[in-house]
Amino acid sequence: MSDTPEIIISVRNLKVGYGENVILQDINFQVECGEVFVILGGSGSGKSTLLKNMIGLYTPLEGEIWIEGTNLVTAEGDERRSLLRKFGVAYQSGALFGSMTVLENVRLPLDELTALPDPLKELTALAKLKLVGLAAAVQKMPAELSGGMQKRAAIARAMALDPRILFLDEPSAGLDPVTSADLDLLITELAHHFGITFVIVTHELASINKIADRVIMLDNRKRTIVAEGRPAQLRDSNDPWVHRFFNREPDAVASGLHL
Amino acid sequence: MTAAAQNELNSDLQFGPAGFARVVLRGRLNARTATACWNDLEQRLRGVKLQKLEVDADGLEFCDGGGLALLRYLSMGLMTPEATVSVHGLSTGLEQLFHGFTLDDYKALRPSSEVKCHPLPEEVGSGVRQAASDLREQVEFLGNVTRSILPTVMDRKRMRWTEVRRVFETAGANAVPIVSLVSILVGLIIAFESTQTLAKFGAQIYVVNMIGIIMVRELGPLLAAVLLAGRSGSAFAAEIGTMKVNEELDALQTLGLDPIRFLVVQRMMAAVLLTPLLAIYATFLGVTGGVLVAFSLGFKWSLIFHQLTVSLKVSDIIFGLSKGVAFGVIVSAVGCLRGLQTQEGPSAVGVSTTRAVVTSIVLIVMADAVFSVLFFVLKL
Repeated sequence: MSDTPEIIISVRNLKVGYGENVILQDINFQVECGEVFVILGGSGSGKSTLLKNMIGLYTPLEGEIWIEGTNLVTAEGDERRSLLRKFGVAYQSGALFGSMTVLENVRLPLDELTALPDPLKELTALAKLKLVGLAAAVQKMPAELSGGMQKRAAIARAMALDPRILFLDEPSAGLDPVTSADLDLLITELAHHFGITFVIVTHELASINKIADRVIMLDNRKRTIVAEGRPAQLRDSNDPWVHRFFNREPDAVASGLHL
Repeated sequence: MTAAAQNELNSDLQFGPAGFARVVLRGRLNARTATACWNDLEQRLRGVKLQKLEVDADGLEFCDGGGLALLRYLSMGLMTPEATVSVHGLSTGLEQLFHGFTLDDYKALRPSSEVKCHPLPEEVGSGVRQAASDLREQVEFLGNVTRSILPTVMDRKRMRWTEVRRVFETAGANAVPIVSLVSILVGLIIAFESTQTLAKFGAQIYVVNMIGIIMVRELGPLLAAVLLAGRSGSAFAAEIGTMKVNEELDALQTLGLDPIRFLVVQRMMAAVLLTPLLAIYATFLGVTGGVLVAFSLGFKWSLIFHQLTVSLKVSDIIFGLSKGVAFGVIVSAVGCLRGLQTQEGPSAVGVSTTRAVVTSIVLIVMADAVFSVLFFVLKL
């Protein structure tokens, strides 16, 4: 690897919110190619809103989001479409299409967006499903899968077109520790073996320590990034909110318990 | 191969002696170039008897999932079933990935395309059984509601009159514009169409008698009920169905609250009070539509009014109103029942809503027929 890592995503002076209601402002950060980048924050800190702006579902109030040299905020038409194909998104609930089998879900982007011959589409989809460990469930309907399996299927679908970036929204929310650890392992392997860049929104401390290369932390009181760095650096942070978060200390004032 | 694909990928197929062939791939193998290459190879290898196929991937600079699928397809012998195929020259990372999915995996995971077909008697049997159990559930539900309705209404704390008021507003007051439009148009259309036939007999004035009887006895309550089923029966099913999917009904039960007392009684109460009112309103506007047609034909107001009063009896109005009450019970009960019956899964609420509207309309028409026979026998 060269000394100056390739920057794949660059967010500049971003301000996000809904109409008059500003949720985050002065957001600046860069994601390096091939790293696992984690967006961290408490409940209601705007993590998911930031992610939805980064994947183009919402338009930011101000600022730029550069992905591989194209500004997502201003891109239109073909330019926007080809930019959208550079990343895959796995949503918090999986967002699998309930009327299709798992295999059909993974095949869908291949069917709609490539001209591959049918046997190759099937081979590609099956290989992705085996990669995420869902070989036994290809013919099942999403409703028959457990939470962890649904998330894996969502990752397989997000990977169907070999994107360079994968956005994951709360991948380990609601999973047991073993399933969650399995998912962490899958993420690290995909990042290391295939050079996929991950942008993950989460608040699971255990998985951040295991998978994250770099972390930014959002705070809903200051409405901006309050800390940035490697997980170990953040753990030793002097900022009281970051310190409390990483050491799981309660916020007595906010919780309303004055014992 | 297309020119654009050729620029990115150079694929070369050479045939050697004794059924030997060799494919050399150089460049970028992605979804687009893999498609072109697959088409090309399919064309040239079809029908050729091969003993051995060698794929040289040494010159590949890039290979994505689609490209890997092509390499796998070749190496599994799916294109050349009789030949032994070998793939050389993959980079270490790619090699590892390539061997992560084998022919055995493919055979094991490939979905079978067989469609299960049930014999006719089995289909009929299961259909009848389903219909019978559905009927049983409907009767059970009606029994449950009947049992709960009185104690709930008597108990002021439990009745939640604010909920009744809310339903009354959304299902009743908010439905007024659409009921107005549909009823007045139906009245106009029926009157207009029938005047042309009545004119042949010189009996155009009787259009007023006809529209009066039709609207008061039949169409007024029917229109109100069908619109209520479409607007509010479906909404009841969707509201209660969503609550079921979100485990809110389970939460009610564990709090010791009966969903029928808590949700169903209020909706049925509102609908029963509401439907006769809507029926009167729809009747009035439908008749107005007919009267407008008669007036436009040149008849005097006094004559039109006289015709209306001689043709309609009080019993007709009672007949129409009692139908309104019955239709209100049907629409609200079916809407709530379908909501409570909601299954799990993403399309469950949609299915419940559709079933609520369809069952309501079918039952309304059936009840209408029963009423007609009943009133004929009673000579009303």
